[in-house]
Amino acid sequence: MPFVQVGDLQIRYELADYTEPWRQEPSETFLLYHGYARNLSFWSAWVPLLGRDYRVLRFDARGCGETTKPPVGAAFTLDHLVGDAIGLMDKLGLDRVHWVGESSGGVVGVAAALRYPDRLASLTLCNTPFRRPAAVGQTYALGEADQATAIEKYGVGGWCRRTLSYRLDLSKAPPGMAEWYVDEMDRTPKHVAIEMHKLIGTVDFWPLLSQIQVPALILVGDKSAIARKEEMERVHEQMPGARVVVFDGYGHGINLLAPERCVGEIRAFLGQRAGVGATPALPVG
Amino acid sequence: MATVTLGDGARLVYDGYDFSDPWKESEPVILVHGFSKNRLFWYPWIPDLARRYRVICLDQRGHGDSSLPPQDFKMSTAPFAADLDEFLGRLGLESAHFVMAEFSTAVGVEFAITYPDRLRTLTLLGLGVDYRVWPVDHDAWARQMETEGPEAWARQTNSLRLPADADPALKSWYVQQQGRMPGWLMAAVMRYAKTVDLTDRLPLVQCPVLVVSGDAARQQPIEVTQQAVSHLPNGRLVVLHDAPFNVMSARPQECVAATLAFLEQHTRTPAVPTVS
Repeated sequence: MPFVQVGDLQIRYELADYTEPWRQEPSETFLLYHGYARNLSFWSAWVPLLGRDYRVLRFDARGCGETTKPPVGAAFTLDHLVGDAIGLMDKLGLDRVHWVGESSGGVVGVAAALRYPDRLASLTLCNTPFRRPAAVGQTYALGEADQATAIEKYGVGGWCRRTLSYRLDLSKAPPGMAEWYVDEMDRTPKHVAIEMHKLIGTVDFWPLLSQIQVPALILVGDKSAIARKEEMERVHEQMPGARVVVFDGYGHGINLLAPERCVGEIRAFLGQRAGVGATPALPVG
Repeated sequence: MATVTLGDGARLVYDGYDFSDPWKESEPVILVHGFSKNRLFWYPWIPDLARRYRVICLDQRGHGDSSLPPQDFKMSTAPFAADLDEFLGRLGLESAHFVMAEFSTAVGVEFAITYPDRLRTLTLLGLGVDYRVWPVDHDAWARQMETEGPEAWARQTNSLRLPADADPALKSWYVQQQGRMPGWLMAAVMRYAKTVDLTDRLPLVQCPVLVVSGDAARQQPIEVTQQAVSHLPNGRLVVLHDAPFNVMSARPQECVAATLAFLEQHTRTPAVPTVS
């Protein structure tokens, strides 16, 4: 897979394109942003589901996968994470994307939608909390002072294993997925996981949601303890135009557990918006 | 885009795709384009096939971005089959599923007979049987390739490959891609093709074979294909109604569905670790 220099990072990415090679106009593009301490391989199933109609961009975020790991002690900010993604789009000549984020990848998407509304044709959030419940912070601390201490003590893989049911509904996971999940997260260095935790654990986007202008689709499992159904059902108070789809019987990790349904919901959402109605067709991005 | 260099210095260019579940083993499937085509022709195949398999598309020698053979090269299917054997070895693979199209089906048959351990299965998309009796003038085609160039020939004969109602942009792209091959090499293939008869070779193919053919192919009646498949020890035929000879480009969705169903029957159940 190729790398591209974006600011201080060598970002590993893949821009898949299985649309007709003779197209005059490039097709619209999806940008898939992975969740906390994960990498682009978490989107494998999504590429074939979108790839005949759209270009599909996935990449390893700052410090994750094969992308450059910042030095120990370097703080992570949303400006960094949003800037990395927009910088990557600039390098690849992508004016606009349909942004899909899973869990904290959606938090970065919300930040991008607020800061660069012209660069996002739509925003889809899979199990993304707008503010993390305090109870989750306690659980993630595993009896230590905080999550950072717990990660230092157990390592990213050990910490991930002990908290896995919060980010993957194990009752729905096929054989092998859980072990793979832990192993992939264990590839993320401790200091990256800790800095990301310091950033994501403190974000509260609830008061800013009303400023989001980008068409938004919110997908959530009704059993997720992180992105809670109660909060998602109240999101219309802040975002009257957003569409919320609840996956009954699912916990966290719907992007891995139900990729076909997620993509089906996205296609239906975009199709509705492109159809006859108040909103004009989404421009090519 | 990646490259392997063979023992004689030739470079074969290929792309790899794998969107299978990362916690499962995925078996390799090698896609081999037809003569005068290249690996780009597989674009509509890749997403669905790579969701389940590790897909590798290569440019055969003389095609796409791979090396050209020397001009005094003696054309036959054997060196192309030998290339596939060496290609597999350089990728560190003992064996793979092979999907081969159009005139490369003749290479596929040769490959399966000469290197039987290399193939888990063989899928043939548009199987020509006895090219000697095809209702085309191979010599006139070869002369046209040499004098007017491959693109002129490809344009003039496009209706043999794609249905009349195919997207004009597809037709134009198809012709342009065929035009990338040097005329002298195309002509050498054509003069060789008119001597090829696989009738006695097919019974020697031991691996499971799927043949996908169109019943509207003007080059060869479907009855000839049916008869040929009956001579394969382990062969089956899927007929696409109203499809031309070049089924992989004319009817990709149906071809992919048939290929996936066939491969699934010959894929080992992957071992996966237990959930913690």
